[in-house]
Amino acid sequence: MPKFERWMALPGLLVLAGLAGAGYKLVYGEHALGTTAAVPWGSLIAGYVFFAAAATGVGLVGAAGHYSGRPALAALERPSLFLALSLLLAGFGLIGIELGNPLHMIYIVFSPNLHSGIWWMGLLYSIYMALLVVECYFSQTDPANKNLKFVSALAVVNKVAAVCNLGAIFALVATRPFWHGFYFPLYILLTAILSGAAALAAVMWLSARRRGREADGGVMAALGRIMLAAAAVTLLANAGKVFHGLASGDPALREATAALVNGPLALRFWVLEIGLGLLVPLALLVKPGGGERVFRAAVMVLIGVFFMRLDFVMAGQMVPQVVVAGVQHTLMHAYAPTWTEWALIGGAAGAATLLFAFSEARFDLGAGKTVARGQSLRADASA
Amino acid sequence: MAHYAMLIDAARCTGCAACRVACQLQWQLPPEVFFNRLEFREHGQYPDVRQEIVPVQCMHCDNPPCATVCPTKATYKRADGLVLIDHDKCIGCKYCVVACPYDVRQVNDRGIPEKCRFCAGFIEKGEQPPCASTCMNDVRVFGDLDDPNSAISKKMKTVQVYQLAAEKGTKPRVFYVKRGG
Repeated sequence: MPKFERWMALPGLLVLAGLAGAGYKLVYGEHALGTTAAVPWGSLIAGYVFFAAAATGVGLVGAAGHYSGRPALAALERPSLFLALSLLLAGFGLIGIELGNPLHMIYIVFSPNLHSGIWWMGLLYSIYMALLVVECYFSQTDPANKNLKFVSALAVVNKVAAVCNLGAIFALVATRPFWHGFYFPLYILLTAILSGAAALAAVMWLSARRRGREADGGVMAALGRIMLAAAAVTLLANAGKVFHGLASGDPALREATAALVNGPLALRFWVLEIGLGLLVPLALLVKPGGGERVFRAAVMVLIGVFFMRLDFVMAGQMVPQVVVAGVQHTLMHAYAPTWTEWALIGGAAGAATLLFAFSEARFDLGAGKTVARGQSLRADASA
Repeated sequence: MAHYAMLIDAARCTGCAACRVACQLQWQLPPEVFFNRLEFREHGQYPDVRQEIVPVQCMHCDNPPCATVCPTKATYKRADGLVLIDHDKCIGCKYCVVACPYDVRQVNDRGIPEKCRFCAGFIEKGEQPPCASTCMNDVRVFGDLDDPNSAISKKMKTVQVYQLAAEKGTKPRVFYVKRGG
């Protein structure tokens, strides 16, 4: 067991809050959530997408270590496996509590519907977790990495399929024009890489600081470059989505996009998603600099991507469907997460943090390549 | 095999909501849960304005998006046309609620979506669903389209019909009488 350190109090408190939220949800069911029949998916779905996609992104960035031949990325190989597993378990915990009847998931095996995106999600993410467990095992028992490389190759295909299918769950819903189409599977793949690189950067930096060291400059610089590229493309993808949505002939798509850029979601969209999550990190990352700059950008990206997920889930449901032509009872459906939802999301973040800390203490993650504090990181980065 | 469907003549609806109350009593639903609702639509421009009241419920679609997205086949379509929910198989993911283009699903206290069942189990005995039998103006006609002597088959031959959100490709089994204007 890892020794208790003072910093663990914060994730520990978050886990306690999450447990309180889970208890409240178990007792009060749907009444504990801000969701309604009109807005059936809320922040817990967004939170699950955030954790599952970040876990996939971490895995994809980590897998780049196998195939890119860059030593900076190779150092991420083991930490990425354990971080991905921690994030995925946190995501599974969140969705398990969100589901009305998680124990009925046994029917995913006994009564499968192959037409359902959620069925494929269950399969692909279960395989991902199993592969991660095997990869983690080999990372500790097979120093030559022969088996690990084979499993990793399988895992890369699985990761891309899993995260694109996660996007397709939304993209295949024809009744929600804001989600519908080819855009989201590709967008979630892109932003999974963005949030995965950010999660790795944050963890590598914090992990080194915890030991009174500086994170390896080469690793942080590599992660910074991945985040820079992914954030820039994400910004372009957002611009494309907004212009396409506002110019659309479909009123539902137009109104959902307007809700995002100039409506109830505008403050979150511009300030948290675009400003904090993309523009400020881009400004930080475009300049060459040390690990701390990359760490700051990573934290902002993670917050921004969480709100990106929330905004996406909300924008798809806020515009009322036209059931009877000419009848619209309300301009926009309202939804606000309850304390239970925030507690559960915070709890999942805390649990992922503590799980990774436990992995670091218990296993050899090969993250020992750090620099004594005060030593030049820039020199290390340019090496 | 029966081929159940419903024909609704919205122009006859007075908006008394007896259909909703009868359904709630039939299935012992709490007041905030209802399987059918009334939509109020205005036609024309002042001073020539009319109101039409359109009853809306599960359309028991032939191509039901709710069944397509359900990961465990908890929502399924019976051979006689009824779209039903097996509560034991439902994981409570609410994907069906998101996918329904008619906004007719509600989540109960056990986290399971609920909706109109076309009174399965009741209609096999030859009874009418209470929403139809309780209506004082015979707004709803329920029956078997495969039986040429059923009331719905006879009425369908005499009127023009339309379906709600037919452009979604769901092929609803609830039809509406089309009126001029």
